[in-house]
Amino acid sequence: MNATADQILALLHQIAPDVDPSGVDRSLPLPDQLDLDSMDYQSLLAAISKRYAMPIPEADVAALRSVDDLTAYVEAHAGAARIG
Amino acid sequence: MNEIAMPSLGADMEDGTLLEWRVKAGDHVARGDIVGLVETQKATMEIESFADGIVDALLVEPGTKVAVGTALARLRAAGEQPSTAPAAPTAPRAPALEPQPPRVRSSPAARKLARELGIELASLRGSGPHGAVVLRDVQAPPATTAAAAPPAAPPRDRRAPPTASPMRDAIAAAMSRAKREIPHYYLAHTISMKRSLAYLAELNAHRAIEERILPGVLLLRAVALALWDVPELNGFWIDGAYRMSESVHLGSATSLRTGGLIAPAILDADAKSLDQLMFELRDLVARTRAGRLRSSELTSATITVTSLGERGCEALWPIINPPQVAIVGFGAILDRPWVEAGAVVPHPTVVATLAADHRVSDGHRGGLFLSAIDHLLQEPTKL
Repeated sequence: MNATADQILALLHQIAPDVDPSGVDRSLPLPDQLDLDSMDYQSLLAAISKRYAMPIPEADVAALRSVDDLTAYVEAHAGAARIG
Repeated sequence: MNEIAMPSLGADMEDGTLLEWRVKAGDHVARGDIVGLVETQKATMEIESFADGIVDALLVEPGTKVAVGTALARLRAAGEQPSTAPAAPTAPRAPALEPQPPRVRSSPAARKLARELGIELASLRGSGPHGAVVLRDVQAPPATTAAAAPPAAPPRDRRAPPTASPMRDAIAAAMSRAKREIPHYYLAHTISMKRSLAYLAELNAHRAIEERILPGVLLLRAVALALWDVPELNGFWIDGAYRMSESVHLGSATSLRTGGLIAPAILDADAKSLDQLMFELRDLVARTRAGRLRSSELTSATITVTSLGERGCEALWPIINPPQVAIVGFGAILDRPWVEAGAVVPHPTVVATLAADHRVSDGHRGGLFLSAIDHLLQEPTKL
């Protein structure tokens, strides 16, 4: 279990309450698994950016597709004090 | 006295269920205020007041299904004497079609699965926010509540065709009518997106995520503005006659992950900036997912835009949503071979398609419309 990953899935559930994140494969792209469109995904990234007070430059967005991608990105870019 | 009536989402909608009132008799309401919530075949939507006034009487009890056009509430103007007519719980203005079971707070996915499995939502204990029944509650109902539920049907075979649902029935009825009655013509136009994407990359580079503009919003803006050149595509065919709309209310087809789609409208889209359109589209998509659309957004679209590019579709040939007379489709923005200065190079392009009603326009005018969209996208700074 990874607390950051769990927090990201909780944020996902907030912005897309009609998807069930419990069965998500954390290594696979989220949009394909959960039928998220670009608007949903932008909202998820915005929620992550706000939650961790961490900018996500546009140039980085294309590489952030799975929960594992997002978790690694948050843990690399957000201050340790802000995680948790 | 004014009346607030059960709105219609289209000619194929016959009835709706009042879920709750947000006002009570004696409340002051302004035009546009949300006064209640109704559930229809296609969506749950908020009913707005179309006039300023004071709620004189609520005529229908929550949980009641009534026919389209049935008066739900009476409004009186300020200074007008209260009506002496009785309110509906004792004397309904229109007959209720049938009483409905109590509403259970639940997610759309949970409602869909429960319907497929034949489980009453009221028999489940919700584990979601505010006790809402969510998907996991339906997938694995606790033993104590499962015993009270009717025997569940086996899970649906994914290879089997989807089971009938009110949403599917509504779509089938509207699309069958469109195919039967509307003489469609279809056009396609491949558009370079190089300048538009470069413009967006520059615009978005220094913006916070929530302020970034998605390419789809640029396409919506181009459609709205191109209608100024070919306005006959923006309007309705009703009772054998065409009625052009002076306002551009752009329906944006939004798929529901629980199945089906809705095309709520961005009102007066041609008068809105890219930032405004982006803000409104995000809000609209979020409320579509949450079942919180307003009646005006569901009933007023004058033309529809549908985009299926995100899953890789290269082009689509949409069906007009009656009584509208045109629908625009966008496929995926893809690098395609493109001749530039005598050489074939990879180039980002999108295929724009138009399905339009031959009773109102011809292919020549449709072609001019797609060409106008193209020209607008080549000058994105002016969008």
